Amino acid sequence: MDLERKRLGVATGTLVIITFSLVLVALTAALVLAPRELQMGDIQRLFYFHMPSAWIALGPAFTVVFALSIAYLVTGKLKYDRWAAASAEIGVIFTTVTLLTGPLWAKPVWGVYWTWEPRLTTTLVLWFIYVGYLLLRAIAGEGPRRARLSAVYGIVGWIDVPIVFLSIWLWRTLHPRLLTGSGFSMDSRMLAALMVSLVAFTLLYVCLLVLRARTLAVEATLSGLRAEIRRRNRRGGGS
Amino acid sequence: MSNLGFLALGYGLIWALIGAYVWFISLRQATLRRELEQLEAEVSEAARTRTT
Repeated sequence: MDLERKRLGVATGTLVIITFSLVLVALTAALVLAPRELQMGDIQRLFYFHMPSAWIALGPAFTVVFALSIAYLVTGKLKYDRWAAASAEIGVIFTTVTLLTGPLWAKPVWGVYWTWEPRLTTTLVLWFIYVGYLLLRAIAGEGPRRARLSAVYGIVGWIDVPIVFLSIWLWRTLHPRLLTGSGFSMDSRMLAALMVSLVAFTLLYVCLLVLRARTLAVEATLSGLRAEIRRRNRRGGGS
Repeated sequence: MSNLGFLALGYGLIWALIGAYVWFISLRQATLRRELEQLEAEVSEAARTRTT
């Protein structure tokens, strides 16, 4: 057991070091190696972290919540509920990053911080949905009842994810379509910087997910142990 | 604000938010470590009183 724990510690440590190094490479690529965009200028460099943040929220984070919510309802194992909760928290963090960096990029380019266009509106709705998910968990107490409620919410709430993703194809929006029929429509060095950032943020998500889910598991074990001690003390005191 | 000002603010916000979340996790882990130690002490204290 101890050897297994040690191995897990080494694996997590290695993952943290690789992630940190890759984030530094991504920062260098975004701020130094990628060329200056001709029309927008340096503000376009926000793109290299704005888009990966949106990817983490829409791609892995909330989709993992959806998948693990189904897994919990099917198996009833609380570990799926804990991993879903950790993923939802990280998804909210990255959606917040997306919603904050977007307006900072929009102001110099569009002239306004915010406009109620489909991509922005559906992303804001997504943020409210998952903040609601976390609030529900905070007020629903502990145990299977909270897990069941969260799982149902996590499945229903995910409906907004494909809507956000498809919004630029479904409606007229100010957001550009990066992916065209002939691949990515951007300079190769810009694309390289974007890819490095995408990999770095994906690893960052995995890192945060592992650390947070493990913390939630220890919290649950500790709370179970305390409940057991209280029960035994009561039994001991009563007899 | 200039383009570079918006860029700096954007990058600052990104890393401040992610940093705050990492700090929150490490704070939570430190609290759990303290609680575990406290629980360990309680359990060994209970075992001692039971044997005496």
